[in-house]
Amino acid sequence: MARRGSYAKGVAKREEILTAALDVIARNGYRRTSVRELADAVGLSQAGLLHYFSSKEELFREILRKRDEVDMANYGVDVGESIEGLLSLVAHNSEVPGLVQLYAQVSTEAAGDPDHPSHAYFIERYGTIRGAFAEVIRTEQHAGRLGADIDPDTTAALAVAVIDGLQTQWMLDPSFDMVDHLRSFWYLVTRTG
Amino acid sequence: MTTETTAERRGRGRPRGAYAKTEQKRAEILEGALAVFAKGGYRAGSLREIAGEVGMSEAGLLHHFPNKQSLLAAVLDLRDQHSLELVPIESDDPFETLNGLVALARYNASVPGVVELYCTLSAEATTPGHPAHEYFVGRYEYTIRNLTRTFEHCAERGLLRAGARPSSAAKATVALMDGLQVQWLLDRDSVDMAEELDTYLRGIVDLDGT
Repeated sequence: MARRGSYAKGVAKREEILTAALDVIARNGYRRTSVRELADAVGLSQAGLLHYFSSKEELFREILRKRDEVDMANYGVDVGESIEGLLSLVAHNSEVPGLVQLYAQVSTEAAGDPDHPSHAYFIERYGTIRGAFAEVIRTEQHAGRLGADIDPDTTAALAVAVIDGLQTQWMLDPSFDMVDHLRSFWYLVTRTG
Repeated sequence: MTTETTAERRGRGRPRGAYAKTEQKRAEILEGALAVFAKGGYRAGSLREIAGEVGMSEAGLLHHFPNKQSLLAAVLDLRDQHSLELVPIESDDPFETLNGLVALARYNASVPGVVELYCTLSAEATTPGHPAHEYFVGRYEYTIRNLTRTFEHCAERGLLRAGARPSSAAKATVALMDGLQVQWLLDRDSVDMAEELDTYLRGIVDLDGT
């Protein structure tokens, strides 16, 4: 019979691993962070760490999920309120290149392969984000702050795509100003300003 | 002393049709390389895997391409040539270029393998030192430089929306095309790449204007 405390301890340890991973990857970059390094950061052996995750793919997916959780906690309300909130989050991303890189690699790897263990996760994530954007647009339209002629779903997909694509250009050239171009894009596409 | 034609010279010492066979084999290898690199990225893909994909030995493959890097370069080169055929990006007629981009997006929806290749490769290659890093840096610079010119031409004709900066529009357009590809790869029904691009372009350029 499993000891009652061990489930809670397992969950807590997973959380500790994921939080540490966010920090280590943000600092060192994705390619320079090995599973061993992550294990060291939380006082586990490599095998010990992988005991908490069924695969490396699951580990990276959970790291990204944790990242979203932290970002929503820090920026979520602002993102829902106005474009400037979203721009703050994008600005923040330029401070954690390792995580941006991790996201880009894992998402593109999972995108093309329906059998990839994280394929469904990313489908869900994009669906949720597109939906959230569309809601913001509808709210703004109802409040009369955005024109009724803008299609919320199309515009949401465009915005999500541009954010991803601007990150690629930024990764190739860290002097690239993601926020500036995203802001221009948004005001043009929503026909404001 | 007789003079030989090139065809006669080529025919000497080689079985007839060998040139065509070599070209065909080379094309098959490029297809195999595209499939392998698209699925797992460049780093993980091996010559052995590609050789296996094409049904030849690694040694046989090396007769055509000396190493993995030259194989990648050849795959990218081939795809670039094709893209340029669809998108006259250096054209002085901005409509030709912009409509070409939409045509490219439409075409891409028929070649998920190619889309996958560029998505996985461009993400992988953002780290400096990656064999394809310089290629992507150059490709983005070239594309954005030319698209900026395209939007400047639109502006000159009074067809670019007020407030749109040509260089920013160029960067956003490229970003858009890249980002839509990832969403499309994940879920084909979630976005129509050509439609979305067309909607965006029509929002900032009067595409029906003369």
